[in-house]
Amino acid sequence: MTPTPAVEFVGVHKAFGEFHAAEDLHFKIAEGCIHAIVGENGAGKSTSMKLLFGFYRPDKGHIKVRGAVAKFQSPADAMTCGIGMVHQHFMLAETHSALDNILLFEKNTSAFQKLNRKEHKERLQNLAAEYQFHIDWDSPIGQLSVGTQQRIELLKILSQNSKIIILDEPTAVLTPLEIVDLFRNLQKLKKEGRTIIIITHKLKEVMNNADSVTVLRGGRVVANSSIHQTSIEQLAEHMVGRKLKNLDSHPRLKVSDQKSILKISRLNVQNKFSALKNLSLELKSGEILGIAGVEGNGQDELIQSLLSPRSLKLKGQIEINSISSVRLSTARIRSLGFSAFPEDRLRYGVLTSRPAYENFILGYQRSREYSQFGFLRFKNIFKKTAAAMESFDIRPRQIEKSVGSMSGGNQQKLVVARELQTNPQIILAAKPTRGVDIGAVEFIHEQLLNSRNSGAAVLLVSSELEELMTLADRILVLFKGQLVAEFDRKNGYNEIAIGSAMGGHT
Amino acid sequence: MTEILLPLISLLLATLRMATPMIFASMGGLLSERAGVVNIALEGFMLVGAFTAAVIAFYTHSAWLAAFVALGVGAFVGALYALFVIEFKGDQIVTGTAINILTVGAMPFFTKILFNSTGSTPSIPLEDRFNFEPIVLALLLVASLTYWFYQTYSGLWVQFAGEHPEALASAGINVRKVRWVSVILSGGLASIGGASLSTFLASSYSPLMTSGRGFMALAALIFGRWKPLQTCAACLFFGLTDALQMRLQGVQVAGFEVPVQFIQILPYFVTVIAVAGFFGKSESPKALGKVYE
Repeated sequence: MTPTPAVEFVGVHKAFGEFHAAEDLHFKIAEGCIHAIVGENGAGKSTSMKLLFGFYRPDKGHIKVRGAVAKFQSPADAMTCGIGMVHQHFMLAETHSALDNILLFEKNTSAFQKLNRKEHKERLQNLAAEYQFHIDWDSPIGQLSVGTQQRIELLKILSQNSKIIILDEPTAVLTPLEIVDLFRNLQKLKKEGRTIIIITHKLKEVMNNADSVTVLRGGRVVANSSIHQTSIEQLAEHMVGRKLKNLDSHPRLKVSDQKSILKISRLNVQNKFSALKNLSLELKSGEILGIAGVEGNGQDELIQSLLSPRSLKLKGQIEINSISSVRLSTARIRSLGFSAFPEDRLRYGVLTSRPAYENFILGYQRSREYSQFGFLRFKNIFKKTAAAMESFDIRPRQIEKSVGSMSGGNQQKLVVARELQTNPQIILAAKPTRGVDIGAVEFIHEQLLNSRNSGAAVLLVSSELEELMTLADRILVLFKGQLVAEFDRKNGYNEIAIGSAMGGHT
Repeated sequence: MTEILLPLISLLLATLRMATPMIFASMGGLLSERAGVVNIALEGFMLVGAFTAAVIAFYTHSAWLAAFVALGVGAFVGALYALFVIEFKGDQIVTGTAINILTVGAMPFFTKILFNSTGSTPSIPLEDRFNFEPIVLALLLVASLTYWFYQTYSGLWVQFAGEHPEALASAGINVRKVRWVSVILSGGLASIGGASLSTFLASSYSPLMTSGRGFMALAALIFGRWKPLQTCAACLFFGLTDALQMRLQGVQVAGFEVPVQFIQILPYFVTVIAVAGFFGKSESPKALGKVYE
């Protein structure tokens, strides 16, 4: 007889209006293992876990927890049943101390009961010591590192003694070293007999740490397997529904006359939170230069000083094709052959409520091609947009469709198509594949490599090591506003060395 | 010695008197805003309280009963506000403004029915009014609110309702319920503030007698960074400028008499300076003004 699984989905359906987020889900998660739920954006990973955690109730089918059918009305019910969840966006109030944030979750309390901070602090300190967590209990959460915040979320769950722990994209915001730390802790929790469920799209982490995996695509289960019987390639194929190309073997042409096209010397920026200190770099045509770093180490300031230098107080020099750009307007800088994929595309990249064709000409609306005597030349615009949607495989292929109704991958492809339409000399790609499905990631990476091969210079700002190592010819590591290390493709990339540099250990 | 001491003591007492209505109202505002609901209806709540208390004190000759009824009526208007902004998800600024205008417009209607006049209510005799009690009550309120806010579970709930409602909900607490209770209490407290105007500072209700004190309470709240003790201190500061304003009327500067109207601007002018952030930036609760689904 097989042991009762910790969690079992039995024919679970969930629809939001017309959209079927989960269809006929069947899978089991064994007790005391690390189970990964993988899939693209919108594949139903989060929906399935929110069903388990009581956020939603299934339309059809049911979920069994340790053999018994669970009928959760709310997350609080799920917590009572010993299920805890670490959300992607932490459920912590930044202005409050770690202690108060955890006290909020104390069970069996009445409204006017006094908060017994001293006693609880002692108890939590002991619990934290068990896992070797060092936590400042009294400072506001906002002052603590993201890694620490995640540990506080874990302690919140552990202090309830939950047996099933769900983590939603737990590594998205961590430094490489913090990721190693997290998985060490998860292994420890597993040894204690707890069941860990991680939602992720990072297949390498799945292969290295999980015991079993469920792959979702389009709201359905496409594979269920133990980790020994699968591989990264196989999982990726299940996720996307087709075989992926290996970009490592993509040709890298040696561009003959590599001239320096972007030169930053001794750039200093002082902003509200972070700053750039004495940053110098040179970007040549026909190369992809990667800027690695954990979010908030000066990337935003670097991007801003390139695109809209007037909005910052900066010292130092930036030259695009030997023209100093620090006093120029954004429009002027872009006209120098500078294109950019913004990191936060919903805020800076597209107008979600406007149709695809308007988004496609955004920033180029004054060009002769698209307007004449102050009137838009719709015939041209429609023709160009339709052609770009065809060649970049942007779906659905409707130029009238509002961008907000497209998937993240297709939105980003539209941005890429727009920015590459003028054959720019410099491409600033800030996290170009954030929130984009693997199929689109592959496509966008390919486009960047093609642009490089045809002589463009690419500045790739990213925190994803894999992306950087796949694409970049050189990698510079940005830490606390300074470039602390340089790695060259010719010498082979050392993942651990780059990772430590990102954490400030050089 | 007494020549300096006496005016100082009388200034101090005047400060406390002038600050009292604002302390009640700002503590009400604090509850509502820390729970995540913007409350510019404080002015309206105060006006309701001032009117209700004046009428009840006039008929029953009991200031205490008047304050008590004002609390109830204020809570009722607060509930009305809660209904519109929490359940019907109305815009909080627009709804708050509507409540303010509604109360201004409704009062003459009631005075007409009760006293056949659209102006003030009849004067309340001295022995039926408060002497000093509202001051003590206001200070007690600040102390107990501070304790409750920071030392009890429900105090923590209110704070999280305004900072991170999703976290509160995931702890199994009903966010909307917390906000409802906070807004109702807010109405009640601001209304008592109004009652202290008509039955303590003045001797009757007169139209528009709050003269912006609800908004000044709101300013004190921002100035005090949404914290009870600091907000109370801000109220006392505004009370001081109000008290000074009364003392300074008729003062001569270099042979000229400064016009009364000019001196009466003082408290409002100070308010503008204080709220404009000349004394450091004030951080509002994160979820303030955001509808919780």
